Amino acid sequence: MHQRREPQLDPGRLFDTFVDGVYTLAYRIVRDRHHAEDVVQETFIKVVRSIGTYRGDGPIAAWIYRIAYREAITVTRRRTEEPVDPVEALVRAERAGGSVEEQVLAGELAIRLDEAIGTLTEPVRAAFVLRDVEGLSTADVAVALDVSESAVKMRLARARESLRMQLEEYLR
Amino acid sequence: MKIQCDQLASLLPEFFDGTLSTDQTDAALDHFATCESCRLTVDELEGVRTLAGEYGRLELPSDAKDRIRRSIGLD
Repeated sequence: MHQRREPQLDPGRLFDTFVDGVYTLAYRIVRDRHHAEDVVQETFIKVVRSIGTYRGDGPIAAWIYRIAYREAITVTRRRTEEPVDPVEALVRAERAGGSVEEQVLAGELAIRLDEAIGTLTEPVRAAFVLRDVEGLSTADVAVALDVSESAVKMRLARARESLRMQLEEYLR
Repeated sequence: MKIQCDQLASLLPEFFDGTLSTDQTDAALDHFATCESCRLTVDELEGVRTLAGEYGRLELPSDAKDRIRRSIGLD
């Protein structure tokens, strides 16, 4: 007999809702498209396998990103080669459309942002991506990264200040 | 309540989250009114957040989505 689930906990629906967010977090941590895809796959295998253990005592987004972050860190620790795949950022910018000039600027911005995020430490990077890119609340980021809210705030302040210095010419 | 530049810096995460108390928010806004350096910094930090929102998100290509969906039995 199949267990009846809340519609929002349907694995297919969770995949559709969170796949790009999980890919974004994964790519920002492992900085390689193929490894990021592996992280997405492993994350959703675990989500499907363990959705029955999700007790609803925290937001589902934080629960999924927590799995994804752990997978991404595991892949990063295991990997030996140097990762850099700035093309992904460019592809995304080109896909957004607009005039040639707008695409060039969007591509340049996307690559500079990618490089700047890449200089952050992984914990700082993860907090920034979940809060300022994916839009989770500070409390949910704390759950996802298994740290206190004050630790998240410190990481966010560090990330934003570092990116402000690195991207200064685009911010004025 | 009056605050200095270094105190303002420590309040910025809550400022961006909109979770400062009314007194703290008033103090931050009063400080911005008189400190051009902090005002510029906060504008730039807001710019970082805007850039991150516009250019930070990635999209998994649809062929990869299909492949992963199949591999974990979602189709």
